[in-house]
Amino acid sequence: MSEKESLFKTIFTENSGKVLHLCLSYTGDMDAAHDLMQETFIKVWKNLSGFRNQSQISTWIYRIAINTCLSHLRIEKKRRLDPLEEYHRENIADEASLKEEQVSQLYKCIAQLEASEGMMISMVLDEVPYTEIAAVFDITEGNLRVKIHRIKQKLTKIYNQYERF
Amino acid sequence: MKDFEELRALWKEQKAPQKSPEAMLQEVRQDNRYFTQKILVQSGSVALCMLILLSVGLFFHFHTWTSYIALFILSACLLYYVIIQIQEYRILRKPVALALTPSAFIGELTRYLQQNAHRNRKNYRIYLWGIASSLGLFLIELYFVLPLWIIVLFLIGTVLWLYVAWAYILKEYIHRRQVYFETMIQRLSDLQKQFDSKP
Repeated sequence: MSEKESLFKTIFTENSGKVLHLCLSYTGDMDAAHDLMQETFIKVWKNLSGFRNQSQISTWIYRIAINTCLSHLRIEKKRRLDPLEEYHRENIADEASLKEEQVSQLYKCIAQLEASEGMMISMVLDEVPYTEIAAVFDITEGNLRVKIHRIKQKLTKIYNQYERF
Repeated sequence: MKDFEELRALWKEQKAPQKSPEAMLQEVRQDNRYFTQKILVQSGSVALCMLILLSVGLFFHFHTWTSYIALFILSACLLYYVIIQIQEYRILRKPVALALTPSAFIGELTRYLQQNAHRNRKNYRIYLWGIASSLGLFLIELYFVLPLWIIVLFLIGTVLWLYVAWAYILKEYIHRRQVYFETMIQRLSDLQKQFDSKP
């Protein structure tokens, strides 16, 4: 196996989960998120040799993932939550565990946020350090903290609204 | 009622289906092959068409030199098409914009869409004029070899085709593309506001 392949495998193992979460937060749909994650890593592979260690590799990958998501405006985005449909679906899907359902609902709630908010909160939930999130979005850490505080409130409110049904 | 910490705990419970690094590497290789094949097929098809046109020019005896010019114009249109396809391919694969900040990337994407809208309109007109002038020049050849009624039919057909291509397809195409680009640019502008650095 070449050095590049071995490096790519390490990068993929370390970052693919977080990248998938980020894409899922943007699309609210698992298939589309997988496609975007795949596209992100194809770009990472092609440009790996061009990566100059000016930033952390994870910051570089996050930016590629975000830009890949943003360039897919045509993807059917943010399926609106229909509470009645959700209620029926939850009652029908016996095989899916309650936790999985709740996680799925959480993603749908994140998809109700603005694109930038959904991406930021998924990184916060994945415990990416604030300094890195600020670097990815090119904003100050202070600015980021203000935004995150607001997004947390907004997300909790949306989630609790839908959990009532 | 859940608070944010409970949502965080819920987030940690998720088990998203994961791809193995080996499977991902396989996808990377397939993607490379797909694009290489696409470019090869497109270039090959155009090369074949140009070869056919060249053979027609070499092995058929035309009565007028205008027919040779018609063939030359058609070949030039085909060559221009290949160049445009390769340019598009290179723009799409250009790595420079990959790691820009989201805000700067949206700016780049907007610029690309605007340029693309302009390029599409210009290219469609070039193809249309190229094909129309070739047919016009070929008509001179037909005048010497075919009965008048066939020439008249050919002329009517050409004029009708030109009319439909110009007045309907071009206008409709430009309108649709314009609506598409305007929608995209509007959505990008909305996104740009979200990624602005203001708190």
